Amino acid sequence: MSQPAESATRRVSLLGPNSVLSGDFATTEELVVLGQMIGERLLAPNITIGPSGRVTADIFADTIRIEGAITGNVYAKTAAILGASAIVSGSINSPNVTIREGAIVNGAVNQKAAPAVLKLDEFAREVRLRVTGSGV
Amino acid sequence: MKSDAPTADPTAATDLRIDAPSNGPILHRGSVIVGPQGIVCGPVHARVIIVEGEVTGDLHADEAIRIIGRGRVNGDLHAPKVAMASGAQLRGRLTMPRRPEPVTGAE
Repeated sequence: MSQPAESATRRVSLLGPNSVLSGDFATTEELVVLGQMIGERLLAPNITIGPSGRVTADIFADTIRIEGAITGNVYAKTAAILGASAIVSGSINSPNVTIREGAIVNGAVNQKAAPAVLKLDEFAREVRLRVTGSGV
Repeated sequence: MKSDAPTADPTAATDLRIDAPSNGPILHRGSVIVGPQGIVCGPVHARVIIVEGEVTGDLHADEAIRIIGRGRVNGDLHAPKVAMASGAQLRGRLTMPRRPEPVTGAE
């Protein structure tokens, strides 16, 4: 039996464990990263970096769950949750930070400053400007 | 190294619990627990440090640092393991030894 209401509201973008993406990535869907991403920025409403996920980029989202490895700064508007297998090299910027014992974190924790919020259309314009030289 | 404990029994690494304002550095062989009413000003060196109150100063733990409940720390954390509850507040840097990562690709 299908559940149209549930599936229509919760869409997920998934980068599989055997995938590599080079570049910036933005989506209005939930983002689950199980593979490798190397870029400057990653943007989604909520982001989960699975245990096999390896990300080199700054990450922007409402809630960010990390079980994998990140080299970059984490900006979570609502909460950043680091699991026991998380490895983070970079700052964590969020009003609510949870770190489970076992996580390896090297960087500053900032809970006072409002995290930078990046909108999808601004992000797209910036990327287009950088890639094509035109923001249109 | 000088012992900060009044008794010279090295096996007696008892817990040190702080439930009131305390100034100055804390050096302790066992665990240091800063209770909800504890306010510590100064660096803390211990095997395990548990913060449920407030600390202004750097924390150095041989084993682990845990900021639990509504614990607040203004300072840098140095320990192989760090845990932080969702209601805890930290303003500072974390420095932890990195565990070797498996090589994922050729350079």
